[in-house]
Amino acid sequence: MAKIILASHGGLSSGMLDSVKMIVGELAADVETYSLLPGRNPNEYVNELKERISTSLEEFIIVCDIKGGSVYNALIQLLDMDNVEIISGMNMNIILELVIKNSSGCIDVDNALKEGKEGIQLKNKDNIVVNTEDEDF
Amino acid sequence: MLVGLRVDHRLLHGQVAFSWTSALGADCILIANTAVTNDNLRKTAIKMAKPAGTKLVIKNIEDSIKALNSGVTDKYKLFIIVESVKDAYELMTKADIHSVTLGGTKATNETKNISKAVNLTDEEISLVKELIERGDEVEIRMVPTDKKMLAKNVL
Repeated sequence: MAKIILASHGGLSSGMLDSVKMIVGELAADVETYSLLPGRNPNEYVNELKERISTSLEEFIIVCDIKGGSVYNALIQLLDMDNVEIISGMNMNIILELVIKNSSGCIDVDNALKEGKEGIQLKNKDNIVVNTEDEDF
Repeated sequence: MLVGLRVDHRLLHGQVAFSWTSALGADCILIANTAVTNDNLRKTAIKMAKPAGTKLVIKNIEDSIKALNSGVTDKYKLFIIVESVKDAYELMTKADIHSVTLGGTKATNETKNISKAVNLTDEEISLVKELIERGDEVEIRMVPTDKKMLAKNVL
């Protein structure tokens, strides 16, 4: 199983984990979070992680709030190791897909990204397609 | 083969769609609900929540019972979701089903709180008791990894 870490400016990551647990419960028990607090430097955390990851055989998947942000920029320094992947643009679809697949030991990062992108949609009265096609057994 | 019957007043939503379907290994979901069959917008929303790779059938209670008894559902790993204890009772007594999971049911002025998200009226409590008396398993559980709690221990 891969280690999933959610990393953000402020409480998005812990809030995200809280929401994800509401849906999948204890499946998300091993997900870790990092919140950068005002006045703190993300490099402290990155150094800690670096040591952990370099001595681990586990695969680390880190999901950041925003590409180019200070959390992301700091974490990018971990990419000189083989067992780290970083995803930016955290949303619930991505995390759910990662957590559910991880629980069965077959995490698929590409598919999680696909799910995350497909989950972003605009709906309004004009474009909602009322689906009247019914399936039967 | 029936893999699960669940009572949830929200029918198909994130919690059910993601966690229960994969935990149960269901390949077909039956939404047994009479009101939804006549409400196109609600039907559309439910169809949007359908997990990839599963079949989704929406039928009223009467047609659901007919389908279950006819054998057409046998080839599926079927997960049934109903809105209320009363609908679950109908299916269980008329389609030979002997276990049910109570997920969320809404609190109203007439309901008593049974557990975190389960609220039942006096009538529903007596239906649940009837099911328990005939030997059926009635459990309360929100997400698959929660601990299973038997209704008979909290009623």
